[in-house]
Amino acid sequence: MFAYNNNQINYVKLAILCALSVKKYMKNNSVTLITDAGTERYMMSDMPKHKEAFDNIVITDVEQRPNIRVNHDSPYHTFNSQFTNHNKHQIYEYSPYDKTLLIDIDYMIANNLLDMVFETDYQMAMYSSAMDLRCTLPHPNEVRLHHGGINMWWSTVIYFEKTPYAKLLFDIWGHVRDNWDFYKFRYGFPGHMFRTDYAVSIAIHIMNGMFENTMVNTLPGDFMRYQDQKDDILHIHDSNDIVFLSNDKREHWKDLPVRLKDENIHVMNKRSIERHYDRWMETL
Amino acid sequence: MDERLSRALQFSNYRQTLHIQKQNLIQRMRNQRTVLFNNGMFIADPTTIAFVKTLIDQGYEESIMIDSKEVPVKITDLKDFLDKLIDANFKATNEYFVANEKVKRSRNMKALLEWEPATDDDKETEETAKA
Repeated sequence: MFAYNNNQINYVKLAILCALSVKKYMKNNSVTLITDAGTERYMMSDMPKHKEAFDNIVITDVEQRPNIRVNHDSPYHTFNSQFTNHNKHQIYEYSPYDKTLLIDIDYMIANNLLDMVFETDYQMAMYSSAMDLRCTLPHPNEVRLHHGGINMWWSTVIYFEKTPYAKLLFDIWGHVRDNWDFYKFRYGFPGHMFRTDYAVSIAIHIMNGMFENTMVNTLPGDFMRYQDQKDDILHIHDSNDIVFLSNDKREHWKDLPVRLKDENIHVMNKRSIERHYDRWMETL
Repeated sequence: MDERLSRALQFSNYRQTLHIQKQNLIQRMRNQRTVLFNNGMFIADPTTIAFVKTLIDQGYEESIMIDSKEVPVKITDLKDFLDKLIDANFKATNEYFVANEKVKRSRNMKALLEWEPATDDDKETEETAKA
């Protein structure tokens, strides 16, 4: 997992939580953290739990390219932060494993479903669909890159085996990053932020001869479950039993409680994790 | 607001929560019915179980099956595969049944979520008890 701290989000703190959830629920649980020297120094001095969480630490001092992300914490509060994701495709070089599951630090593990993918002969697997807390589809630009465009693949969780095929896919991802403006125009998606979901989706599309995917497998489970940035966490019963507050997309003043048990979840509202961090850590 | 409308809206919130909780249970059941066998990922649903049982009844010991990700997989021991499918199906459907019974009996949101947030009154009671 990658974690580069910035002045708004303590990524490494979240990475420790995520790594401990992997250790608790998964059998394939050797965890490698990819970070920079500054974040590592901070972690070593201020976060003693890192010893339990990580088996390896890879230091990669990345070039700081401006990539500002607008984060939400509820519908009523937003903040901007630097999002360092330009080197995500280099996981192929960074990973010390033959079979790797790359997970974002806000993807919390609550079952052993993903262990299954290590037993398959898949070279690469990702999620091609997602559902929010209410079991509804995400915004159309997170289903397709453009309303008549290609399908979006989520780069939140990526399984790969070190093969020339996987290497080629990550290399194309790097090429898309280097020519972002061209591909943004060519694939017709909006915004300025570099999104790895989009980059990997384009790479898959190119590698598959500009047809819909038949190469990359989907991960175990029907879809990736996620908590939207405008949702919140109400209570942590256990690390695999959490009550969320799902915000109504059309009427922001309305929320519904949703209790999730034994389900992996992409918790997009990072501030909501930080608010419940101590309790969450107690349960791991 | 008209009291009838207010009560209807309250009920509507309950129904939405009920629907989501049911979807969560179904999703959990589907995950639990996932079986890994000979590097393939299968769903232990009645169709797969019945098909594998038919193959065994017809005298086959191995067969090619298409897994849930549309990958053809050679099943080398159909009997062992059937046992695993039935186990997963039993476990998943039993748990779904128990959870669904609870949901059916839950007539309000607190019961549905099996959780009541702590209130200021609770804190006072706790402090009094400690004193």
